[in-house]
Order: sequence, then C-alpha cells, then structure tokens
Amino acid sequence: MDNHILSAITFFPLIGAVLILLMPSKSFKLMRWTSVVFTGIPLLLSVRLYQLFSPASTGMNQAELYQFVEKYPWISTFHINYYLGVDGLSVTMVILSALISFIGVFASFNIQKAVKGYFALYLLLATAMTGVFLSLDFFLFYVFWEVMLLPMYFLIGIWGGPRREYAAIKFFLYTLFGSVFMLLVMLVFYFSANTFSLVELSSIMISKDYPGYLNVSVIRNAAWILLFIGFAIKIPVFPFHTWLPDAHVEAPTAISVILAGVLLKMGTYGILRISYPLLPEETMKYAPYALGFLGVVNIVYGAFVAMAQNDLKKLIAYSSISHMGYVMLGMASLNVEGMNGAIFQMFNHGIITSMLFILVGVIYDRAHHRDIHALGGLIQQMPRYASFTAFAFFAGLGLPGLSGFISEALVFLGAFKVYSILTIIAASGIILTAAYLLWAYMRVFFGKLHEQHREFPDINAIEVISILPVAILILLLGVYPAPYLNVVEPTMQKMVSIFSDSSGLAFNLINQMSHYLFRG
Amino acid sequence: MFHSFGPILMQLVLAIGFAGAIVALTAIIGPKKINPVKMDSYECGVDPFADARGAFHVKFFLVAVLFILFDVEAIFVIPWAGSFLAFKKAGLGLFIYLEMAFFMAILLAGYYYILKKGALKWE
Amino acid sequence: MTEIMTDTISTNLQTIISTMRLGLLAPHLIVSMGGILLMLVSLLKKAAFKINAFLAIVVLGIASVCALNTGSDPQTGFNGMIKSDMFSNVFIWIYCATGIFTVLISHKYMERRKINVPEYYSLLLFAVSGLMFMTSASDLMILFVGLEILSVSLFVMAGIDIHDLRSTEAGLKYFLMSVFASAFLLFGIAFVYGATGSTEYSAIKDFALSNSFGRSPYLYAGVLLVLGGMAFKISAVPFHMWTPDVYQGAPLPVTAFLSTAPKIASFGFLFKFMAQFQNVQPYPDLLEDIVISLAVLSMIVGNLLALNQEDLKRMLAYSSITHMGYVMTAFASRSDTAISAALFYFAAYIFMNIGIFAVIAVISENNDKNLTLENFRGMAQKKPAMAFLFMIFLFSLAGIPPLIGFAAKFFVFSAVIQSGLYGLAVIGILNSAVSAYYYLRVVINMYLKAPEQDSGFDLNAIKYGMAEMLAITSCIAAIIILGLQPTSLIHFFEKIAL
Repeated sequence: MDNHILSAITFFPLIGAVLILLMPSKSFKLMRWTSVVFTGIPLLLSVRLYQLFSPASTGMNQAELYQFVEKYPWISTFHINYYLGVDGLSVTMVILSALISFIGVFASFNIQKAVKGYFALYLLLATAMTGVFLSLDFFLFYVFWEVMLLPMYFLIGIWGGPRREYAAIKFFLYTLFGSVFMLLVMLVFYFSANTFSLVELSSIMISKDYPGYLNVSVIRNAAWILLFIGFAIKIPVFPFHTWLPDAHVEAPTAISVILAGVLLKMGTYGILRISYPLLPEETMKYAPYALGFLGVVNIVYGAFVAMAQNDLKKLIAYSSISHMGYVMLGMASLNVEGMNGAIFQMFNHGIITSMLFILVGVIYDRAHHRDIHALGGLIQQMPRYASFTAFAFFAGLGLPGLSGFISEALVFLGAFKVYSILTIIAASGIILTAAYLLWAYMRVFFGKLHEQHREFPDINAIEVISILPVAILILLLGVYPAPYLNVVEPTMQKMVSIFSDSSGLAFNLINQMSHYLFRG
Repeated sequence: MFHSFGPILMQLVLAIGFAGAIVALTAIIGPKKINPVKMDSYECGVDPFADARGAFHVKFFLVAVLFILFDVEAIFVIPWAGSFLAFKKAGLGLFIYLEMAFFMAILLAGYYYILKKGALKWE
Repeated sequence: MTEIMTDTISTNLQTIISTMRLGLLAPHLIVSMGGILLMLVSLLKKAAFKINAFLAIVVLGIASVCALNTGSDPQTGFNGMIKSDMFSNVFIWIYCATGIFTVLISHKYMERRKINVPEYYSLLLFAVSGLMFMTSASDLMILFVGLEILSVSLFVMAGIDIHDLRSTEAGLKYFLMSVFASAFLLFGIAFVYGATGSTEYSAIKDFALSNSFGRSPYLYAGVLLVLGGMAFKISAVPFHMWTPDVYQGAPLPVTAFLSTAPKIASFGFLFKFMAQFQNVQPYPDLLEDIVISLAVLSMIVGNLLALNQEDLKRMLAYSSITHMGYVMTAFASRSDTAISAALFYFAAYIFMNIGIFAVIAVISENNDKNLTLENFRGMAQKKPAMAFLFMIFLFSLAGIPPLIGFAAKFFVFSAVIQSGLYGLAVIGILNSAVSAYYYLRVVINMYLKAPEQDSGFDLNAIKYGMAEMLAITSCIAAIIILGLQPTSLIHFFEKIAL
C-alpha cells in the first residue's frame, strides 16, 4: 500500500462514487455513510503519508527528492506520464484536501434533493482536487484541474440557491478561460523542452539554458502572465474575483466549504508549483506587482467590501478574498519567512474558512436566511453555537494562540523586509478584519432575540463532529506550529534559493515606487 | 503558355465579331418597309390562344430526364466502337467486349428499375 | 508508317490496361455494386426497407475489411488516377463507420416519420462510394466524379422527407450550393489543367516544383478556386450560408451523415492535393494567408453565431463550422503531425457528432416540432439516462478532459504550435473556451431548469430502439476510452504519411 499510497488517496473517493451510483436511489443513509468511509480512508492515508514523509524531500527540480513517486507512461506519443509525487509543498495540501472533503460530507447530510447524484459528484470532486495537488506532470495536472470543474459546476448549479444557474455558469466560464491560458503555456513548454514533467521542466528552466521557443524572452514573459491570469482567476485576485461571491452565496454549505477550503488554494499552489520553479526570472520581475501589490489590494478591498455585507455568507466570501491576499503577499516576498507564512496561511485559511462556512450553514438551516440584520440575540438561544462561532471568528481575525495569527505574522515578517510600505498598508487589513467580524458577531449574537428564533435548537452532534477536528487543529497549530512548519520549511528554503542570486533589483524598484508615491 | 490559347482567343473574337457584324449590317443596310401585317406576331403561324407558360405534366420532365440520361450513355458506345479494332489488335478484344457488357448490364439494371417503378407509365 | 503507329498504340493500351488494378478499388466497387443491388431490392413490395438496412451494413462491413487488403504501401493504379495508401484506407474506414452508424440511427427514425423509402440506403451507399473515390483519387477528374456521385446522392437524401417542406427546402438549397461549389471546382480544375497540362496530382507537383508555383498565375488561380470549391463543402466561413438551413431541414440521420463524412472527405482531398505543393519554395504567401483566414473566420464566426441560437440543430450547425475551423488550423500548419492530429480529430468528430445526432433523432422521432433549447428543460428528471449521454456528447464537443474532444483539440493545437503559428493556436484555444458556453446552455436546460408543464413536447414519450442504442453506446464508449487512452490511435495515425 505504501508504494501506491498517493494513487490510493486520489482514487478512493472515485471508487466510492461508482459504488454510490450503483446503489438504489432511495437509500440515503447508505450513501451518506459510504461517502464518509470513502473520504475517511483517504484522510487516514494522508495522515499516514504525513507520518512517513521525511522533510528532507524538497522536491522541485530534483526527481529523487520527491517521495512516494508513481510514474507510468500514459500517452507516450507526447511523453505524457501518470506521474504523482509529494514534496513539502504538496504534502500539506493533500492533508488539507482530504480533511476538508471529509468534514464536507457531514455538512452535506441535510441534502435532500437527488442525493445519489450529489454524493457521486462530491466524491468525483474530491478525487480531482487531490489529483491536482499530487500531479508532477503538467498534462495530468491540467486534466485533473479541468475534471474538477464539472462536478463543481453541477454541485452549485443543481443544489444551489435561487440564482444558481447564473452563479454556476459564471464560475465555469471564468475558470475555463483561466485554464485555457494554462493549456497554451503548457503546449509552449512542451514544444520547447519536449517534456510535460514539471520536475524536468524546472531543472531545465532553473539552469537558464532555455530550450526552443522559451529562449525568446517575450514568450517567457507572456507565459508567466498567462499562467498568472489562469491561477489568479482561481485565487481569486482582485479584478478577477467577481465569480467568487456569487458562487459562494448560491452554493450549498458543503460546497462553499470545499470551494473556500481547497479550490482557492489551487490558484496559489499552481503559482508555487508551476510559475515559480518554471519561470524564476519572470517571477522575480512580476511578483512585486502581480502578487505583492495585488495581494495588498485583495486584503484591503476584500475587507472593506466584507464590511458592507448584510449576507453572512457573502461576508465570509469577501473575507476569503481578503485572506488570500495574505498568501499572495507572503509569496511575493520570496524569502523563507514569507513563503512559510504563505503556505501556512493557505492551510489555515482552508480550515478556518471551512469552519466559518459550516457555522453559517448551521444558522441557515434554522433561519432559512442569512441576513445579519434579521438575526440577533442568538447567544441566549444557542450558547454552544455562539461559542463555536466566537472561536472561529477569533481564528479568522488572527487572535494570538490560534493558527491564523502565526501565519499572518510570518507573512508580515517576510514581507516587511522587502515591501515595507505595502506591508504597513496590509497590516491595516487586520484591523479591518477584526472590525467586520466583531461587528457581525455583535449583530448576530447580541441584542434582542427575535420571537420566531425562540425555538431554534442549538448546534447538534453531526454539526459538532464536522467542526470539531478543525477547531482542535486550529488550536494546536496556533500553540505549536512546528509539526507543520518543519515539513514545509526545507522545501521553501530550496524554492527561495533559486531567487537569491539576483534578488534586489525588482524589489528596490517597488520600494522606490512606493517611496515616491507616498512622499507625494 | 499564352500562345497555346491564342487560336481559341482568335476564334472567339472572330465568332463574336462576325455575328455582331452581321446583325449590325442587316440593321444598317436592310430596307425598312413597315406594314401592320409584318408587325403582327406569328405572321406565318397560328394566332396565340393561351398563355405560353402553362404547366406541363411532371411526367414530361421525368421522361425527358430519362431520355437524356440514356441518350448520353449511348454516346459512350460510339468511341467504344471506334476503338474496338485497336484493342482487338492489341489482343484485348475480350477485355473490351466484357467492359461494354458490364456497362450495359448496369444500364439495364437501371432501366429495369425505372420500368418497375413505373416511371415510364404515362397514366 | 501506319504499322508503327498501331504498334505503339497497342503497346500503350497494354501498359495502360496493366495498371488497371481492380484490387485497389475493391471497397469502392463493392459499395457501388451494393448500391445497385439495394436499388433492385427496393423493388420488392414488402420489407425492402428492413432488408436494405441490413444489406447496407453488410456491404459497408465487407468494404471496410477489403480496405485491409491493399496493405500499407502506397500503390498507384489506373494509369496514375488512383492512389491507394494507408491514408486513403483510414478514410475508407471512417466512411464505412459513418455509413454504418447512419444506418443504425436511420431505421427507426425514418419509419416513424413515414419516409421509409428503401432507396434511401441505396443512395447512402452511392454517397459512400463517392466519398471513397474522393480520397483515393490522385487525379482531379476522379475527384470530381467522386464529388458528384456524393453530391447527387446527398441532394435526394436531404430532401427525402417529401411531407416536410423544410426538408424539400434543404434538398434544394444543398443542390444549389453544391452546384456552385462544383462550378468553382471545375473552373479551378480547368485552370490547373491549362497551366500544367495535366489533372494528375504528380504531374501538377512536378510542374509546381520546376516552375515555381508563384510564377504561374493560372496554377495559382486554379488552386485557389479548387480551395474555394472545397470550402463550400466544408462550410468554412464565408462559404457557410447553406449549413444551418440544410441541417435544420434535412431528416436527422441525414444531417448526421451530412455533417461528418462529406466534410471529412473534402479535407482528406485537400490534405492529399495540397501535399503536392509542400516542397514548393518559397511557399506561396497568399495561399497560406487564405487558409489561415478561412480557419480564423470559421472558428470565430461559427462560434459567435452559435452563441445565441435557440434551435438546437442550428446551434450544432454553427458549431460544426467552428469544428471544421479547428481542423483548418491543422491544415494550415502543413506538417506530418498536423495530418495525424487532423485524422484523430476526424475520428473524434464522427463519434461525437453521430452520437449527438443519434440522441437528438431519438428525442425528435415523436415530435414534429423544431427542437429548441427550451424543449430540453428538466430532461434530467424525466429521462436521466438519456440526459446523461447527451451531456457527455456535449462536454466532449466542448473539449473537456478526459473525453475524446479534448484529446483531439489538444493534438490539433499542439501541431499548430509546433508549426509556429502561435496566433492561430491562441485564437483556436480561446474559441474552444467560448464554445463551452453554448454547449453548456443545453446542459443547463436539461439539469438546472424545472420541466415545463405544457411545452407541447413530451419528453416522456421518448423510446429508443436497439439499433439507436447500439450506435449511441458505441459512440459513448469510444469517446470515453479513446479520451482516456488516445495513445494507440494517435500512434497509428502518426505512421501515416502522404
């Protein structure tokens, strides 16, 4: 099993999906528990993977430094392989996606419409997500990336809210356009270097011995920008973000959880896995603007828009945009602290936002609306729910002692070294986050309890099961982040090393720019 | 390569020129004595009694098309007959005979088909 | 003197006759003889329609087996008028497969619509034999004869539903447009002949190589006219006007056939014919530009017009224009990889298009109305299996992995990029993303919309026959299996050179 652990993690949910399709369509209970089992096993396997993983596997451009590698020829004409492997970057993402898929199943227990289709698509989605994080072949990566699109489209489009058609097609078209750019870059890489292997490509590109078309600097620059647009749509970065609030508002709870918890990370993961090692020179050139500057825009803009929301789910959606800004800022710093912070923030945002969305789902199930103004005083009626929410909100605003604080602090630490002014602006985001979260909390839980909310039951066991593991993780990593950072750090160190030789130039530029800007 | 088309062009010019010249010349030199009988339509025929654009029976077209079809195929037999001896001399007499027999067989199959379908029945 | 003359004539005759290798034409002859046989069977009063359907499948099956016989080495025959090689064999298999699929989806549809004329299958066989001649030809005259055999059969097939005015309109429109195309083509052939003194591909090639192509305006004009004539058949923009009306009006199985085989054959001919000019130095710019602009226009205009179509058949018509635009990009890149990519695209296109028309045929058998996208509302609830199959076809057409449509587009755009036509690849890939929108509109109607109460369109009444189901399932199987594992097929196509 240990030899094929990655394939097992990836394809177990798919087996579950097939089984569910074969079940009689009325046996809801059986389907639910099958889904629990077939997302539970990958979760256990990924924990096992974490145990077996040695942090020395720094991967990137050295094939021998990836672990649990599986490599079989797939389409030999184009040198396409079924190529899976993990390094410090992907191992934590695999755990994240296994964990979120698992707790998402519990959040889906209240689905009543076409249950069979729902769980089959859900499990297909889980397979595709894991596949994206494990692929070391560009083509395979692209295939998983696209396969993920379809179940997501249907999960929003069929089981979503009133404007689900609009939200689903918007999500689909945005992402499709992004991936089309990726396809183009992929082909250029293939026809220059004659391989789809990300490992080989990065070792070729890092050596600066550019093959074929890539020898032309315009093509390399265009490739970076196209890839960035593709991934930026997924993150989502400021001008490309409009699909996210729509998708979140319309999606059922579990799908919001997956969307915010895993799918958004694919954008930043893609940049780290593909743009960074394949185009290091261009990364240095564009990171300050595309990741640093736009990251800060994301943080501040997301926070301000969140403040103006009345819909609790929309508020969390915009807070996601804001939080992904920290990831981008950390990545843009190109130093170990910042990058560690970015990866850690990816993980933390995944678990914290999942918890937030599940909690919003809890209140939606009872009140059938999410309007902040129409709620109030719930702390009297649902004290346990109120305390869980308080915990999640504090995690979201980066309270020391909870995991979000550490990652944000690391991001600022790294980013301040290179973009001092940008970081100061970004830090204001913390205050804004605290403001909108606390304000929302106040309006929902304090004040006068509405009469029609009197009979609301408190949070139930299934709901607690789905948030408890995440809550424990938030607390543990908040106090003792070493188990996470130890795994990630060597890989990040190695990634930073490719940027060290000629760093400075681009960053000075941005510093100067902001200097001029703010001196007037 | 242009010179090979030269004669054709010349013939074209001649043909158009000659026809045009004749028409022009008759109009110019010809005597013009107009009287009512001469201007009457169908001076030499019967007076028109109905609209010329009357409907024909659809069978007419069918038969006409079939006629043309077989007519054109019959033309094919003439070059065959013309070259038969040359083939025979080359020792290919049987071959060329069978070729035509085959062609005729296909033609007959088609004929049998239209006969059975009643395409040639007028009623 | 005359003695010597007759002697040379007889030796000439003997050499010409010795090149008559009937084996090379075995599939063609079997199919055309089969057509005549079916015509005679049609005279039977009873059950002729059923017998003919069966016989047509048998004939096409035998013909495709016969194509194996000629082997993979290129062989010429009939005094250089026919060239049989792996390339033409692949096309023969494609035509036979298309023909068999068409028979499978025709039978029940034609019976339900009361247009079960037994001659229909005979015409189908004649059309297939015309297709075969088009790609086996290595002489423009044979090509033209093949094209006419095909076109004449298709006029009648398109207009076969005499109870339906739109079908008659389709037949007439297709007739007029084909005549136009033939005129273009003939005019082009005449020019080529005038310039080179031959209609044989190899002689044209020799002429083009010795007197550089660009310096002979007649050859240039001739080739452009031939290209224009074929663009009608392929329905490349701006020669596409007939497509939506004919697709909409013709009976669905005929549309399925019409939208696949003739287009593929026209491309097959173009690949074979234009390969003669491959080594012309310098390659004529204008020719290249025209092919590229045909590709770009077809992709963009086809897509834009498809976006807002409410009628499903019209939408598919415009989308087929776009698909042929993708193949045109491969054609523009003039490389061996492009040829194998195009062949793969054809195979994929047949499975997708025949499959989707089969589904639509099943749906519209019982409904006389036009199929609008609205009619599909809530289909997923009423007919889940059918909706699911339909969705797979749509996704494959949209090029979503891991279905065959994605693999096909991937190979084509790879070839285009490899030839350095980046701009063309970018336009193609963007268009393929745009096209997802209108395919998704159908899926949205099927899955995300509630069924309409009184649309006058009863989805529940749909029942499918065995033959249709066989066609649909085999298309689905091919789409999924070849989508996941395209290696062996593309390997096979890569060995094919011109």
